[in-house]
Amino acid sequence: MQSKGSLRKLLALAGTHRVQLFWSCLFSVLSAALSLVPYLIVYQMTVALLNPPVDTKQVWTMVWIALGAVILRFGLLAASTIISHTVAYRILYSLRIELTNKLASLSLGYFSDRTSGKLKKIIAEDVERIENFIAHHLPDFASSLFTPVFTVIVLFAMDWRLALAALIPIPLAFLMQSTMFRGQGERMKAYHQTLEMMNSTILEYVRAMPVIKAYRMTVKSFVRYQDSVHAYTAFWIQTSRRLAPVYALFMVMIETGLLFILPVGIWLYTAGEVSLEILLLFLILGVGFTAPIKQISELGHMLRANLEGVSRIEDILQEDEIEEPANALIPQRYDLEFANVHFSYGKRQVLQNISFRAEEGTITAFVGPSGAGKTTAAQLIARFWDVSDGAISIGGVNLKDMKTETVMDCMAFVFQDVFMLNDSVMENIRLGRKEATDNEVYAAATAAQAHTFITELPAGYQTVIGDGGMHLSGGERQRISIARAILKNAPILILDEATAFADPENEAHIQDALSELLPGKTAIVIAHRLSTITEVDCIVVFEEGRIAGIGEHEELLKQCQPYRSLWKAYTEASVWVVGGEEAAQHA
Amino acid sequence: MLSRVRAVTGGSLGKLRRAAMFTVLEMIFASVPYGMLIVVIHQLFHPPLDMKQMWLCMSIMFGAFLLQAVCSVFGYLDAMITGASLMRDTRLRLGEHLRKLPMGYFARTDKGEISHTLLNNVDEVEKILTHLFSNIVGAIAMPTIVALCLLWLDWRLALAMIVSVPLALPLLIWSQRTINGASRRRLTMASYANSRLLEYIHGIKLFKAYNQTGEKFARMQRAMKQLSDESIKLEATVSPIILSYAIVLEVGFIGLLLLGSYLLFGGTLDVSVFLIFLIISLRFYNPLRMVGAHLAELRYMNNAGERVQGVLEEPILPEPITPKIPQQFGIEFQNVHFQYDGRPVLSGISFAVKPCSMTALVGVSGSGKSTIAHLIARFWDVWSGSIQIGGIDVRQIATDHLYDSISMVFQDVVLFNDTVLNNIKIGNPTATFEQVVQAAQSANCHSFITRLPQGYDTVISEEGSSLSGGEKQRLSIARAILKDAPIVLLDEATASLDAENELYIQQAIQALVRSKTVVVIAHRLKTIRNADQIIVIEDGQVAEAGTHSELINGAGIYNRLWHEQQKAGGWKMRKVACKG
Repeated sequence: MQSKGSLRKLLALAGTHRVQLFWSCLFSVLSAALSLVPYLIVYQMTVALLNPPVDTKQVWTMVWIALGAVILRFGLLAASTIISHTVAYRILYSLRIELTNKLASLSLGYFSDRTSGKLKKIIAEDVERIENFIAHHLPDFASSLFTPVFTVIVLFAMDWRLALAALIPIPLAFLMQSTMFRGQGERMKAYHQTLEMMNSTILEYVRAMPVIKAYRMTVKSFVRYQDSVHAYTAFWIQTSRRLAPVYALFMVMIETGLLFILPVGIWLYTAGEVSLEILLLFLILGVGFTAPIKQISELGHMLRANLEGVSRIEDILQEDEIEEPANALIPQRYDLEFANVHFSYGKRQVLQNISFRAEEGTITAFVGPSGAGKTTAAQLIARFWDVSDGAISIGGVNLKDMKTETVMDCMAFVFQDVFMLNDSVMENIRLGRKEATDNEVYAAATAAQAHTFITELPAGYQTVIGDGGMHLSGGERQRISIARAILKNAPILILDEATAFADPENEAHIQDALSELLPGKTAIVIAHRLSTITEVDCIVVFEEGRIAGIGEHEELLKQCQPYRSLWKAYTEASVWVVGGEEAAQHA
Repeated sequence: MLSRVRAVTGGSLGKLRRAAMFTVLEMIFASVPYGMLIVVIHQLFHPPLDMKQMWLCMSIMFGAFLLQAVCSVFGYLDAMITGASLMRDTRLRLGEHLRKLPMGYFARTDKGEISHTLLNNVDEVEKILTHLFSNIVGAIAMPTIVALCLLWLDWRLALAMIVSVPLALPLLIWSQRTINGASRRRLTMASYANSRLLEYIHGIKLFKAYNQTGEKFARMQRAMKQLSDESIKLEATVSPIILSYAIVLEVGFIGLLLLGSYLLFGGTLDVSVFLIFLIISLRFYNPLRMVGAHLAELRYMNNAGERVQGVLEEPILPEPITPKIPQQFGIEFQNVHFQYDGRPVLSGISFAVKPCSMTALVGVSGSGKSTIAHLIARFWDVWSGSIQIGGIDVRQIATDHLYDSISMVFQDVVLFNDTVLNNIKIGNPTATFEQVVQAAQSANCHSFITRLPQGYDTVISEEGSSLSGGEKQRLSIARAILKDAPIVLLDEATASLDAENELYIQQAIQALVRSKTVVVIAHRLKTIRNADQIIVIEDGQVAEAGTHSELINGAGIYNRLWHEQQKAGGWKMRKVACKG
């Protein structure tokens, strides 16, 4: 079932370039037909030699035909190869783009259930495997089918008894083939699983390098690395052991034609049933004509692995997208409302019955202990996930009635976990707004208090940062992330712990930047430093996924017990110090 | 042909020699039928048929087929097992090697590229062992055997048949040169596109938030397009040359046809011999033609091997020849200089940390505080000067021993896609469950862990994306507590914690300080006010050092930072009057 669907998908992919592929297959078949010319020449020569006299002119004709056939044959093959590869790589490219587009339309939950290694394997490797199908298997299939079929027809026309003898190896070989394919589906599944596992762990190992080093985790103690590498090898060794005998027998069997042609041929020849010319023709053609069938077998073999990969590609493409509305609305105002929002993360209920309203142009703070659901609630506003129940609306329009693009266009984010592209500082900031000019980028960086340190980098704004680039400190990265948000200048602003890593001097600077950024925006601010949010319009207190209180600072201090204890802890921590006697007294 | 493989696998080629031997034997048996064909055709042209000899021929052919099958099984198995085992060993060696490289390597190399080498390039080298090697040996052995037989039969015709081989050879050599460049470009592009893809997956939240998904993330789109173009270019460069090689090769057949006819007319050639040559020569060129394609592939795989070798040849952090073991854990920096890619980070840092004391590093971001912590752990080596632990230069301590002496909590939390239990146990793999729970309690994460669906056995998703920032940070602190090493380095370990959690964690850290040497990097000056020593770093130099009370009374940076922070502490996001 699964493999049928995958095959259909594979053919559908090929179908997008069917005209080119038709030419490629045609050239391949023509080239295969031309490869028979030397055999026919040998036959002609045999006939001529057996019926002398032979004239020179006849020999020269054959020479010219042979030469022309060779050149044409490989010329056509080159054309076929280049066409099929060009098409294949184009298809790979569009499929990869389709997959990456698709990923973007999935909820973030999809990514926490899967490792990036697994996704990478599908988009990079499983897609790459399709190249084999389109560039090699399709044209090869056409030609490897053509040669034996054509030869068989010729042979039958000459003498059916000898032709039958020549065909004996084929059913024998396919018997082998079928035992080889037994359990192949499961094996290929196992293959993809071990490969995925190895992809995930190796990627994890490389990305965790500081911890791997600091905790002296060798490849032996990071057991999953060792296990996955061993499992992959074990899979190959086991599969080879299981398949080698059948495979080898198949490969040998397919070329045993002579073994059957010879006795039958000699018997018929001595009985005067066939002429010497015919017998020689069978000896010439009958020996090698089954060789292309090897390619068909190999094709069947690889097709399995290919189909399993395609089914994984299909899994991604079939994944439920975050639904786009049929009639998309665009909000006219930017107030924000949560109405009885529930959200679960797998089995773990993260948010329950969250309701509040943030008026346009006001600041709302989310406070609460870590793990209370603040970040999740903020991320729901961007529809990174869909709520399990209830509704979130902007300007009275439910998020689900807006295009994802519209939602994203009306908000700017500063995430807790800052992500830098492995690109120049300039491009990292420009991510905020693709079409921003250099001057606009400078202005945003200046407002985010990042301009000074950027200009001190070795190549200024052109310095490459991120993975593999110049290392920036946590505070520096945070300011670049703020610059992005400033550049985007969207009506809704979500700040998740935007100053957590800032040093005291920069904290003041960042706060200056925020003071400039905030006015007029509907802002959601997550902050642990409660002193910064005592004067915001509205504070939402989170506790274990519920709202424990809503109101202004003074109000909450009076009425809300959880807020009071947060505030108490905060003010205590502010005077608390590490080390020394004084601390012990305070504690 | 195998020097690259040897370099990659560390000199061992396993049973490859045996695999090659089996392949050659297989080819010898595979050419037996042609020998028999010679006999049969000779008989057919020189009647009457000797039936006994006919049957003998057929029996020999049958036997040869069986032996061919047996050799093929063993050759195939040897090659597959050798390839798979050697690549397993190579991956394990690469993993160990990576661990020993200085962090500088990881800072300048994209992690996507490194993983691409470990996964894809290693697989590509493996194909040399499992497929290409036997194929090439076979494709050369078979025609050689056939040529030898035919030389014995009639040397003139045999030479005519063989003469096209040296003529085609220059094309083969040319193809190798051309492929080199194109295949390197393609490999580089594949690795680069892979990195962009990973970047995209890891940063998906950001790309979604900024509406730059799929092809709108132009860098990835371009990388994929270029990969596609480079792949097509590689194919378009290689195919024509390889196929011209095939054409020149098969011109030999025409030479044979001409010379054979000439000799035949001259009466110095037997018709049967000529026919035998014509029939068998067709089998002579096929495998040789394949050599062209195989060698092209081999070149590509070798270039992949270059990349693997490149990683293996990265110099590891030098280990001391006679390692010393520190007896106490005071830390001293003596005139330390350090730079990253030409950006000087530390210039002449000197300070000392007494054993069982606490030192705080303070300064604006980018001033070099994290670098100091990393240098203590010898993630990098200093450019000049020296860092000592217990009076011994860190370069004189075996790195494994050094890492055992240090517990680190990093600014960027690293969690594994494994259970909570195993994530904490990284601190001490032999710890009992009770010890893990105890560490979790000290780090104030026990209660949230027990609320997870499967408690300590809950599998954390990649990068801990299912946990909040504060939860992740507490897990990494639990890990460090469990390790119980004499030196503790905390780099902004509590930055994303709420006040209450921070309070608990600070208490846990404080408990550590009594028996450990602690170095803390913190931005919230209040939290480090009572450190035994506060060192203010500015522009990679020690600007001030002393206790809080000493520094606060000076008119230096600390004083300024302190007051700035007081002011910032008083900063408030202001209420904005509602419009309308």
